[in-house]
Amino acid sequence: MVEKEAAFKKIYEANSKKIYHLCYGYTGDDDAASDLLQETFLKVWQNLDKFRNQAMISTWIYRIAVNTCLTYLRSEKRQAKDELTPFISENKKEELSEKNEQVALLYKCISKLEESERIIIMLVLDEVPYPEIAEVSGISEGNLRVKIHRIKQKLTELYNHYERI
Amino acid sequence: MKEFEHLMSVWQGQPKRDTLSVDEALKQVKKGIRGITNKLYWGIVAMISLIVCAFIITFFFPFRSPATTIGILIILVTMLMYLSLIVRHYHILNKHDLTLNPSDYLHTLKEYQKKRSKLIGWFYYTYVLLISTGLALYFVEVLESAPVYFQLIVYGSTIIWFLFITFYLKPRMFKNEEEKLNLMIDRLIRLQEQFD
Repeated sequence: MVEKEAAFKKIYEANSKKIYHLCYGYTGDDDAASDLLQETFLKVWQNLDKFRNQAMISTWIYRIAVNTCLTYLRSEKRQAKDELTPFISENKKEELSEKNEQVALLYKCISKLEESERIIIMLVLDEVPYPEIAEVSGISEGNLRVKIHRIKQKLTELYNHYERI
Repeated sequence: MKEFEHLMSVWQGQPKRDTLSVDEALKQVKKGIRGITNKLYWGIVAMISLIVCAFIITFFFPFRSPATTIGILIILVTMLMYLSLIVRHYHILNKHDLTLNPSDYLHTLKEYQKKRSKLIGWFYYTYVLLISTGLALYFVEVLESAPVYFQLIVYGSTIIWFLFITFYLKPRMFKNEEEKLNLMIDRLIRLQEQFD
């Protein structure tokens, strides 16, 4: 049990930030992202004993997170929000730094993408290797390269478009 | 005009948010699980208190008629039956740690759901019948010297209360619990499918 907790702590510390960003990208909602982060890691904890291939643990966690987010969006019939809530907007009631504004804009653009595009681009932004993205998203590597190229273009266009407004 | 590399640097340079510490996350997960059993636990506490009260009334109040004592004993036995049932339900839910083995927990929830449907069915009607008989016998002596209108109010309100519970409260309460249970079972089934 102590060993399991230690392993879990290591995994949590190494992955929680990325998984939070992924959940936030899906929901655009701070509270929902925190809940989904928690649910993802509950599943990780429950199934840690079954996990053997340590090298691909991040892929495994990404897959759990994506499934958790999709289940959330579908079963709750919720849609990702256009505008961002707390994380960014609260961050600064004092004053949004330019950096935070850019992050907020990026999330807004991600929320405009298709559900399947969102996961792929968030993994690309996290610099996850292509074979891992293919495994998480369930798309063959060949198709994935074409798809990534298109999504990158779409996201950049959206970003430049909203930046001008 | 920004390039994709710029977006990448924005993404990777996101301000670090105060996410939950791992200990806090573990604690919250376990707290959530405790919440499921808490309601039953308080039900057990309330039932034990009622039984103690009934016990005190039976053995420390001087009743003349044996019907009164029989009435209270029927109520007492019925409440003990109910108590043993919810204690068993509590044990069913409490015997597994959800965080350790979801499959066992799923099995547990299904078992609990089956037992609860039994409770909604024949057990509930037996329970109401016995409690009503007990109360009727108890009221014979207690309300003996009360004016008729007061007796009517007591009997009337007791009957209305049972009807209200049976036809209004019970279906809603169990429906609510059933929905929550189904949701939890669905989630665990999905979770299991994900890893099978």
